[in-house]
Amino acid sequence: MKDRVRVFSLAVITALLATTAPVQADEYPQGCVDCHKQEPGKTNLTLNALLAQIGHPKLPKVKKVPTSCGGCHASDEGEENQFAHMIHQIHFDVPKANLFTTRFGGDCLHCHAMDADSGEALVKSGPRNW
Amino acid sequence: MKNVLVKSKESSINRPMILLALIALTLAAGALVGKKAFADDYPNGCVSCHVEGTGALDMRINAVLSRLGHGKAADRSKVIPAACDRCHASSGDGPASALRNLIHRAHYTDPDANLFVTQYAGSCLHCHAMDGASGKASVKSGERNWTPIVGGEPITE
Repeated sequence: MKDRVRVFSLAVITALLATTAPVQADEYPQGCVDCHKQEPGKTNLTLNALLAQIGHPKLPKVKKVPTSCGGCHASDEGEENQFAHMIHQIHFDVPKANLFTTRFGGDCLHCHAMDADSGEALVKSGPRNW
Repeated sequence: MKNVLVKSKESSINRPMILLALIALTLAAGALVGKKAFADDYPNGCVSCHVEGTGALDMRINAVLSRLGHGKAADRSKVIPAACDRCHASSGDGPASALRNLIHRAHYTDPDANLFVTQYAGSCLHCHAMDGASGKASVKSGERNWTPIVGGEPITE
């Protein structure tokens, strides 16, 4: 009897946590490099590895990602091929098959940070991990 | 025989508990899967969330602004939030501060208590839409969901 009460209580607590807990902890404080990394026994998802696969030139000058990408990729408003649109396309196109939407919930705040004091949405960044 | 009867009675008492536990676990699984869903529950942005509600506080934009002491300008705005740009220009050149930063602050300040964060997971895509094909992010909009009142009389259009 006591075991069943414990199981029931555990189930109720799990349900309450899953339905009410706010998502606030930032699991990806450095943006790109927090997701795009190499983990033992898994596919290498570091950006240099992915970019090499699609024929992108090597990245010797890139120290901070994605800040350093701005050396070549324009981010001006109105620019047709701006970097922001390209990254959005990669992460949101074909949402039913896209890993970012299917596995990571397509959450903007994985890559962006919100400064609640100023109301400015920012792009997170971090040192390269290759 | 006595033992068998006692056991049987105990088992029938616990059956509802087991059922409740299964329901609770199903709800938990549903909530976790729901976090990955991509369906848009708020296609019209502001007015999809800011509704009159049933028995709760009126959360429509005009009611919220009225409680904040905002002028009657909301009654001149037909499409929300596009019409707000008349004063709250996104360039920052309007007579009032840029709407974007104002709205971000309203929805993200004090995240432990902010309803948008605690009850709506603080998701950007409730207000913004992402066109995956072009990569362009936009602001959703919809027609106001209140009847404007001018000179004390509701305006019918």
